[in-house]
Amino acid sequence: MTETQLREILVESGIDLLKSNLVQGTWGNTSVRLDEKSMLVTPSGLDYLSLKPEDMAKVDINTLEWEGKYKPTSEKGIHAGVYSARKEVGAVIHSHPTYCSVFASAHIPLPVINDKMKNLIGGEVRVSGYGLPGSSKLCKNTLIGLDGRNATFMANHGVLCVGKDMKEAFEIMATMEECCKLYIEQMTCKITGEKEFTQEILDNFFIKNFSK
Amino acid sequence: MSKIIDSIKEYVSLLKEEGLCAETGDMVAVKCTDGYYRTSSTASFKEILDKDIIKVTNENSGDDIVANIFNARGDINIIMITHPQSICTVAKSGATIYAVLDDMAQIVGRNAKVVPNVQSSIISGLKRRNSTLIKDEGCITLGRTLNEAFTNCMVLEKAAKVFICTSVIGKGKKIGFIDAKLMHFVYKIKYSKKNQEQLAQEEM
Repeated sequence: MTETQLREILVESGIDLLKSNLVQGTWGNTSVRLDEKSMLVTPSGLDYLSLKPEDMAKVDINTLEWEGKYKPTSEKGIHAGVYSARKEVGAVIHSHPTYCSVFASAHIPLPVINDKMKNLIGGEVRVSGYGLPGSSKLCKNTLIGLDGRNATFMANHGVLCVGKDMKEAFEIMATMEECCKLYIEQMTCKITGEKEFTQEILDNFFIKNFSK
Repeated sequence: MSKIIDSIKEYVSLLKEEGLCAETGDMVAVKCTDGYYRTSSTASFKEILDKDIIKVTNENSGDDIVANIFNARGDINIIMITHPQSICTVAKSGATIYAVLDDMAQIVGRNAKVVPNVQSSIISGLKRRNSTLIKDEGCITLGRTLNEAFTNCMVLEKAAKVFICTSVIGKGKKIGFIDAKLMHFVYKIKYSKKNQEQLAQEEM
């Protein structure tokens, strides 16, 4: 695939993430491997809907030196770390969708809940250790959490998904959010004894148990 | 004036798109030199029209809560009163939302408390914060720009939803005091320039 095509894929991925409610505003970031030494990443703080192929930053995976019109995401180190450690990975998505954020905030892993999840992600999704956004600690911990998996929760932060290409990384991100939501719904029914989930049941459970 | 009205209408549409408002009871106010513009109390956020945005001058604002918040917080230009679903649930419970995610720590702060629906309590709750939940109601979010107040609301609603969902699987782990303070500080500095640029655009 040419660099131009990969830049277009990054533009499309941002729009798809927004449309699927997997990212909000300018948050999150995506990247694709360009070659052995470099990657293309989304710039920092720009609206996905206004991004153009030429806005993507080209970043050296080893040195993190970059070229382009805009500064790359501050999480570029994590993306680079993944491409260095996992040769089979061609695309990375980092985001903070709501249901994944529940697990990231509670530091609770997501058990395998269906075959699709097992096949795409490779097993239980672990919670990577905490680190400040953009820090090397966050980068190191995320890579540990991702070991042998295609997704990991980032403690108090969000989720990182990887795939052989952007299509697969996106499918993994969508599956993660879907499975997290399903698990919460199942747990709500288990705890409340209700047969079918509704938001009202969860809200009532919360009010009953958390009212001051 | 037409620019303020257009900006208010744009953000009312965004609040509607993001599911952050109810059919009635929501309000967006923008400060101006001699008072403020606000959506009227009868306005429906389903379809906001020019006539739904009124000007309140300092002379006729009386004991209005919006005017009193603007007076108490000279650093902000925008007030949004909204009723997002999860915020309303947490507001009913009275529980404090703590920053268990870094987007909340950065944008909203370490926590967001529920205050009684009494003017003095609301103003006190907003003294050093840009958002507060109101018991059995929704929330008030503030900002220097419309975008800042809107983002506060969006992030607070996400934090409320995460708080509710976490209740069936465990407990959210709070971000440490220093880290949360640091994140909020860095965010304010980082986005200060961006906000000021937007503010300049929104100003008449």
